[in-house]
Amino acid sequence: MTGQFAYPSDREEASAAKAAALESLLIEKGVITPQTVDKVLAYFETEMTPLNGKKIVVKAWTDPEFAEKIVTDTPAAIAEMDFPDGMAGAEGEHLQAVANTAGVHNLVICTLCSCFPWPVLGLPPYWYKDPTFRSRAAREPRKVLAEVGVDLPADTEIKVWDSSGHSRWFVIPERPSGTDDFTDEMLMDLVTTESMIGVALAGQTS
Amino acid sequence: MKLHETCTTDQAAPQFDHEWQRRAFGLALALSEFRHYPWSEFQETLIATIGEWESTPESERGQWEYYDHWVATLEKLVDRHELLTAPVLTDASDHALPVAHDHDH
Repeated sequence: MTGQFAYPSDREEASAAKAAALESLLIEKGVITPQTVDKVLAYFETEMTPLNGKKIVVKAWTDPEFAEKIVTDTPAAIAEMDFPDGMAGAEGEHLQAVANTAGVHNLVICTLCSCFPWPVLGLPPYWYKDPTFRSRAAREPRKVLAEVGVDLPADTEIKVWDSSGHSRWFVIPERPSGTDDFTDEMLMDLVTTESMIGVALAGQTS
Repeated sequence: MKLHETCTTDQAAPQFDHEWQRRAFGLALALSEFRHYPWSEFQETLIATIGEWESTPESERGQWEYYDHWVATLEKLVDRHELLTAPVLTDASDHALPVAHDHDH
């Protein structure tokens, strides 16, 4: 935890207290049960993870027909895969994939709030929701990418995608070279959440 | 500004800093899942809440904390849908039933 994300503990306590009070009042009223939140969290934390995104990326790397379909009709391509049912409407609709190529790098941001594609990526990293990151990434993506260790050739075009209620973008990163004889499992290890947002490359270790 | 140090390490990226944030997240999701409000409404309200913060002068708005806005949004929706004040109407699988209207004849 760095200092820039520290904030006064009284504000945190106020929000924490409000959230806890809301939950107990809703339980008391019978709107939810004492188990409801745990059940929803357990489902979310076991099923809505980056593993789904990793499978999508590896299928796109190994199946040219799927690679085409995932960018032209993302929901239909995802429907072909054996994924658990999405939480009703919770960010899973309107998923839209974009693929990195030799001359094009895609970066996903959300300038309003975090319209993050949870079902395929899990929850976003903490810094992703920071307004400074969001506005800088929109304004000077090449510089921000260089700072996080993605040094792109000067002639690589950077496309910045702003996630919204209507389109929740995720990136199909490029398959690293020298991986022709990798198994699917080995390939999945190369795909990170960060590479599917476009703030890292697949297989990038630093 | 330097980005957060966990930026490029997949495993180390914290999802929640505190358990209460995780529960507030789960509560918002649960109320939508059981159809007390559509998820899109939560999201639009969150966007508006964050928008208000962003258009407030820096000296007046306090530090950025995503989950403060999350909890504020949750409070607004609980109020708007009268979840703590209206009678509870749910079906056999705990899904909220639509509020009856007088004019459907």
